[in-house]
Parts: sequence; C-alpha cells; structure tokens
Amino acid sequence: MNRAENSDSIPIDLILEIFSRLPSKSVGRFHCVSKLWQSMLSCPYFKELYLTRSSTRPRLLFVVHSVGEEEEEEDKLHFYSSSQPPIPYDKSSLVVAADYHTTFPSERCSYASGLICFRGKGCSGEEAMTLICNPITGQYAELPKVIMYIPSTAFLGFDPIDKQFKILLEHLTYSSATNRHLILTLGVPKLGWRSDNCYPKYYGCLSEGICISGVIYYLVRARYSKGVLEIVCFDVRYEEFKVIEAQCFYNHHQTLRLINYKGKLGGITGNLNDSGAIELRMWVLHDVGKQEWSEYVYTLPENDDIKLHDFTVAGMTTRGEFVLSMIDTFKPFYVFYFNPEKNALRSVEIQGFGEDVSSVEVFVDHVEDFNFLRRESS
Amino acid sequence: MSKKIIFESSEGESFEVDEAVALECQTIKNMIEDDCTDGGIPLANVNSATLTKVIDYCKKHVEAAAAAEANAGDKDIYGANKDIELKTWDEEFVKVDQPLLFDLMLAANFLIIPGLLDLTCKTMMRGKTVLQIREIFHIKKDYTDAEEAEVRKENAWAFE
Repeated sequence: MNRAENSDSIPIDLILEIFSRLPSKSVGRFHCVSKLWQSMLSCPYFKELYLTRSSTRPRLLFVVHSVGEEEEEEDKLHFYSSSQPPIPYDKSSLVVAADYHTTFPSERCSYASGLICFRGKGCSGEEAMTLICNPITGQYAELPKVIMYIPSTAFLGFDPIDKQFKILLEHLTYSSATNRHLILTLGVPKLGWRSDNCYPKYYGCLSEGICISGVIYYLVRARYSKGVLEIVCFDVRYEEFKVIEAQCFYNHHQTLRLINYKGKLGGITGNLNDSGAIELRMWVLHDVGKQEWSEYVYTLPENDDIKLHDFTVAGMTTRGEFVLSMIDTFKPFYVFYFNPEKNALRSVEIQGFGEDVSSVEVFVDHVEDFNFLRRESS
Repeated sequence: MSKKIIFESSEGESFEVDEAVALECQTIKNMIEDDCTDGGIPLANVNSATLTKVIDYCKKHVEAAAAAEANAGDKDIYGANKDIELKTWDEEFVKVDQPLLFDLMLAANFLIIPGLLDLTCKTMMRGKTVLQIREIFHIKKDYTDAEEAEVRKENAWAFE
C-alpha cells in the first residue's frame, strides 16, 4: 500500500510532530490549509510542543531601527530573526539571510522570554502608550495608560515558575524623592498598575534591563553627585527589590551590556587594549548574597571583519559563546561568535535588513513561541 | 561477529542487519532490550523500498558515529569535518520522489528515528505553498473563499 495516497492514515500526532519542526512562518501559513489544521495548530498542546522544540533551536532576534525620512514620518522598529549557526560551522552558515517578521512604530524596546515591550503609538490613538507584543506574530496588547512627565523606562520580566509576564515601570517625577515604581501583571483579565512601597531610591537608570531566571536587573546611578553605581534586582514573582553594589562598572557604564552568563548576571564591555587587540572585560555576580563580582578578561583573536567596525556585546548563548554585533550599520552587517574555551572567533554576515537602517540591536537565544502572554501550565 | 537482527517488510522480504544498525531505531532498541526479536521483526507497514532506504540511513549514521569517535583528534576547532560530510550525505539521501519521502517519514515516526524524522519533515515541507500542502496531504479545502481570506488576514505576518 502506498500510504501517501491515503491521507487519513497519517496520525494527527505525526502531523503535529512535522509542524513542530518547521519555521514559525510555515506554521502561520498552514493555518490556511483546512479548518482541521487550523484548529490543530491553534490548540494549547501544539503551542507547547512547538515551544519545546523551538527551545532546542534558539535564534538571534534583530531589532532594526529605522528613522523616518520625512518630518511627519515616525521611527520604526522592524523585527527579524535568523538561526544561530550550529557547531560545527559549515561554509554556508557564514552568510545567513534574516527572516522578516513585523514592524512597530517605536524607537526602543525591552525584551524578555520572547516578548517585547515598548512605548509607541497603538492602533487606536495618537498618544504614545506602552505596548507588549510578540515580535514573531505581531500579536500585541495595549497597557493601561500612565501619565508621566519624564520619559521613563519599562522593564519586562518573566517569572518561570508561575509562567507570568510582568512589567516594571519607573515612574519618575521632577523630584527624586517622589519617584516610584509601578508594576503590572500581564495575561490577567483586568490589567492594572499597582505601586510598590518598598522601591529603591536612585538617581537614574544607566542600562537596559535584563531578566534572568525570574529576576530583572538594571544598572543605576545611586546618587547624583557621586559616581556610585548599583544594580537594582527585582524579583518578578515576589515583587521584591534588592540593591547590589556595582562599583566595578565605574568608568565602563557607557559601553556596558548586561548579559546572562550561564544563568548568572554578567556585565561586559569591549575595548582595544594597549597592543591594539580587542579585549572583552566581564564581571560576573556568582553569588547574589555575597555581592561579589568576579572579573574575567578575554583577548579576541585577529579578525579582519571586526577590526574595522565598532561593535557591542549582544549576549552569550546557552552554548557558551559570546555574540558580538556591529554598532554601525554599514553593509555588510556582521555578528561575531566568540568561543572563550577554544579562543575561536567566527564572523557571520546577516543579510536582508533593507535600506534606511539607523541601528540594529541583537538579542540572543530567542525562542519562537506562539503563546501570547498566557502560557499553559505544564 | 556481531549479532544480527532480521526485519521483514510488508511484502514479506527479509533484511538482515547488524544489531548496532537496528539500535538506531528506538522502537527496535526497546524490543531488543525486552528480548523479543527472535525469529525476525515483522514491519507490516513498511515496504521493501522504504526499508532499504531506512537501513541505508541507519548504517551511514552508525558508521559516521564510529568514524568520528576514531578520529576524535582530527577535528577543526569547531568540531568534526565529518559532520559536514554527513550533512551533505543526508541532503542527497532525501532527494527522492514525494511518495517515498512520505513513506520514509512515516517509517521514521513508527520506528522512532529522530534524526530521520527531522530530516524528512523539513524536506517535505520546505518552501511549500498552501496549495502544494493540500495536494501532498490530499486535503480538500473546507474553507469558503471568504473564510480563507479571513484566516489569511489573521496570519498575514506569515505571508510577508
């Protein structure tokens, strides 16, 4: 019997197995095949299966910022993703075409566990508001408005135990004595901001936030006059703040990037050393309780592509490679993988970002997920 | 002399393979562990043509794994060059007609050969349009044009 002639003989389980191995776009397209397939691909079981499978093939997420040319035209963020090349590298993985996903009108965003949070115009009005979106599918939700006089930062966090996203919003006022934080839990029926009374006092935020294992971290300047630096830690689940001394970042905070170093918080910066080689300097917080930072220095091997450009450290993959990306957006655009154990540096050219690109931000280990805000408890 | 396992295809043809090759199939591995493989393993839903290919695949992957182990020193800094060869071999392996590819996928699913299932699934669906998928899976369109347009709109991100 030729099984291909009889599609009834294909078990549904197998069809789901097939789809869980495909790129997100194919899955989106095949909703149109039939009503049965549409319902199969929308069911929670499949979404969880897809999430499990896509966790084993993490991607790079690119946030491409383009500035409007005309005066009325607004800035836009375009989301792209590409595969992280497998080890061993084959020749073809040295040039990778990025897949285009979505575009939103905004300038900057915060990232956690596959979702993006940013300030931008919603579909309904003129006023800027805070939005949360899935950059792969473009699904988004508008958050309740907060009246603010000073632009402030929103940090997105994910609590892996209750599988809940929360947003921490700095609510700044002209007097630092009255600054506070607002918190909002996503995916609940009634969205609302609440205020936390035990928030830390600081003068200004100096870095992007990063969420690692249910804790949001960001670098702040503790007081105006002195260069005292601290890391604010916010436990997403218990909604508790903690402040950690971070004086080691003094003089480095302008180029500092917070990264997930094997589940620990790391701060990393790249510079040229005296002999003209590129040096990565990293501080890792191995024990939050002891508040001790360990310092590591890596000198990158020679590489012609990286020498000519300014670059930033985007993060570290779960495989233990640092990912560096170009700051300027001259073509060609490169990302670099540095393996500290093997002292090996590889450059990969990323194609397909189009014209009018003013900057590209890269997030590592992006997992494609069709769930939006609410994940099934497993 | 390694132990042999005998497979029997849906046509009743016998295939003798080394136990190491048969162990690539999780389903067979379980049977061997439970010691119920004497007198051959009948595979009523795998035909001879498909089974030949499946055995080829398992053999190649067993050999490649053994070679990689033997030449553990002969690697570039990022891993074995052999892995790239194997990837190329895989790509050639699935250059078959659609019905055979389909049968290979079903066999990989039934015998539980994760690498082969992954390979056949991706090859089968790569770059296919909605129409082609309906053809391959023999699915009648049950949407009205308006309904289909609506679903397409909801998933517009996937068509860009």
